[in-house]
Amino acid sequence: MTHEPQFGYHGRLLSVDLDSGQVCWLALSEWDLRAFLGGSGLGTLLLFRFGGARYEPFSDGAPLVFAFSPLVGTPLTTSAKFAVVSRSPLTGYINDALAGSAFALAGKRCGCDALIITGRAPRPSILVVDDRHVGLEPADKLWGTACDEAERQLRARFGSGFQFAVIGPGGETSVRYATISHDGRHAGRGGSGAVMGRKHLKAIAMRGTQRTKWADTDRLVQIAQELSEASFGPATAKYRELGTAANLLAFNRLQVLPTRNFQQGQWSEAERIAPETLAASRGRARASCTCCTIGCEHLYDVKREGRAEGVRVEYESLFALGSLCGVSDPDLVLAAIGKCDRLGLDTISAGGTIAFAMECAERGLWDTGPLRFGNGEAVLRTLDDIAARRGLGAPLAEGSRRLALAIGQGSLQFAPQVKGLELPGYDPRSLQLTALGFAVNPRGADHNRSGAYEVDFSERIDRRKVVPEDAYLAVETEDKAALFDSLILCKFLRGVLTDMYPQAAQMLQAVTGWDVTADELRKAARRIVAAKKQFNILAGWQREEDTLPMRFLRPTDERQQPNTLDQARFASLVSAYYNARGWDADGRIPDDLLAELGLAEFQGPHFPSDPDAPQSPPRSFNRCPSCLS
Amino acid sequence: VYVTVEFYGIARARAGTPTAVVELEQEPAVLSHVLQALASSHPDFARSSIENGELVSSVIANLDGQRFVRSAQEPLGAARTVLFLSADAGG
Repeated sequence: MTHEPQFGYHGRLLSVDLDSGQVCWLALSEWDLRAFLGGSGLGTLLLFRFGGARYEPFSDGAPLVFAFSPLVGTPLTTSAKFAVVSRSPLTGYINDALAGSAFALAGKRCGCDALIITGRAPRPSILVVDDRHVGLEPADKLWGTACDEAERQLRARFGSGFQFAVIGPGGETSVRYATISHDGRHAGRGGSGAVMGRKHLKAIAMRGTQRTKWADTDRLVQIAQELSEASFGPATAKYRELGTAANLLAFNRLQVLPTRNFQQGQWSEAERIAPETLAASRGRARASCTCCTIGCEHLYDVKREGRAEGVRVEYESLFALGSLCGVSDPDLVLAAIGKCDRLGLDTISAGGTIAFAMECAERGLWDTGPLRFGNGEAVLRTLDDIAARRGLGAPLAEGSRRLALAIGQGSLQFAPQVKGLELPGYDPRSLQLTALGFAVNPRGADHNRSGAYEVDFSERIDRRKVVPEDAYLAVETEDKAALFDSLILCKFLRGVLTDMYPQAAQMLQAVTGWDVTADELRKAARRIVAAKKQFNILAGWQREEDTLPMRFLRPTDERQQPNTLDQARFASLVSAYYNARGWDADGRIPDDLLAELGLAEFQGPHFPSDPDAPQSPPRSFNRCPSCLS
Repeated sequence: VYVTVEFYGIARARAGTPTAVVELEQEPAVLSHVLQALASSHPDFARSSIENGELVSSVIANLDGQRFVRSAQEPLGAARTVLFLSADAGG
């Protein structure tokens, strides 16, 4: 399969090198696309092929990949999404962050399945892709503006039809957990906004007219209609009616609501910031991504400069800037969420790093001034300082792992991170399959790439006594997440897709015309997870990094139920996970398994990171016949 | 036996209350007995959450904040609190 695809894809990528100004359209083979699908999977392949494992995240040669997918532009609900893939400045390993909505449509209509950016522009710039025309425009006047303001100015400047991915001040100053924003949504985790900022790119503007064909339009429309109808049902009612914030009170009751930097799993003040309370006391609106029938976004009013402003409230933001920092004033929590959105900061990592600093202060390890648990005003000021890398904000901009290494004194044991990525709002002590998912995932502690919490919140296991025989469930949920993130479809459809692999195969058949089966997609999901892992191995990963901070592996903790996780038992879970994946005892992927998964090109020696390494030409691409360069 | 029922998220919105107390006459009590009691006391919750005597897939129960259960035939054992919440914990 080396020929170009007829349906669902354009069969080419757009490569832009900001150093040389070279623009190149390169062909993607059908094998590449069928094996890695799109989104997170395709982005992983392209990051590897463009030498991503060789470059430090902030080096000029480091690739930044925007990957679209075969389902983008179809009538399938929730399919208007894109993935941003790069090496993370927080972890040093692969990072894939997803976002909706119309930017995905505009990007794909430019005639590419992915956009790869290397190099660094000489001055703050906007990368403009207008159909097949590519150029750079100055962004000096835009530099320093907040995400929402930058998009507003860009819309006024470029007019209708363009869609924008922008960074905020956090990305400009290389905050290691800066986001890339589009229409108020964020490719949030892992610091891809900082990578974009290092390239001197304030924004990417895309507009296009090129649509892909579908192999069986009638069948696709029928599937889309059925999926849309099902998406209005009870499986998504939580998201539609309350949003993800509905987790807060339930998690608190189950003692899994991370509180005061994970010192506790329960918080006496949770009711104050719960969506049930917020909805009763302030204005509320709903929103959704383009092409989405679920509409999970709930915006709550908060006063800002004397006027009411709607702030998107997600559970993760609410926990990170609320219970994790011990802040219960709803106005201050909402204001902090809105500030992160405008500054282009990942709320989870911002809240996690601040909460860690607060505990360091509580223990007398670091003088943080007024930044103490419960002081929401200080949190607001600190967020500005982080984005400006000013005062206390400069070390906080580095994330909790680097901060702990600087503070020392044993603080790494309670820095809330895995591989450098701050934990999301699921207490791993009482959600132990989730704990395993956090530890082994290539991105770091993450609930979007490992859906293990789905099992913890079920009758299938005892969430406080997970055993090695359960490890295969972490593999299953991780594989499913990889498929969702590569098709791309929103994971909030998981309750609607009752038999995901065959249903996804039907969608792909209708879009691409391939005779793809459920088993082929299972293998594709395993391939994509393995490719990410192998990328990390090439980037220097070691087995001891697949673990949790020591806080979570102590046999007891003082303020809640006894913790049944300990180092030995947790290590046995990690080993069982490796075994379930067919990896060796050190968590490395045998060459024959790489070959079986079609990842032979990912074999190879360890690449030492070298910021000055010359960029090698990408392997395995053919020059597109219509290349413009 | 008196059992306290706690509703969270959509279950609370349907029930119209955060908590309820149901009296169960059957022994040993099973989840089904709680569901039957709620069918008469909280019909809006029951309509959206119970189908053919079982919980629908989008709702799950938890006993005393500890163990998740789904089957209507699940014994309550010593549990005196039953939580109903969304089966999807995505954040």
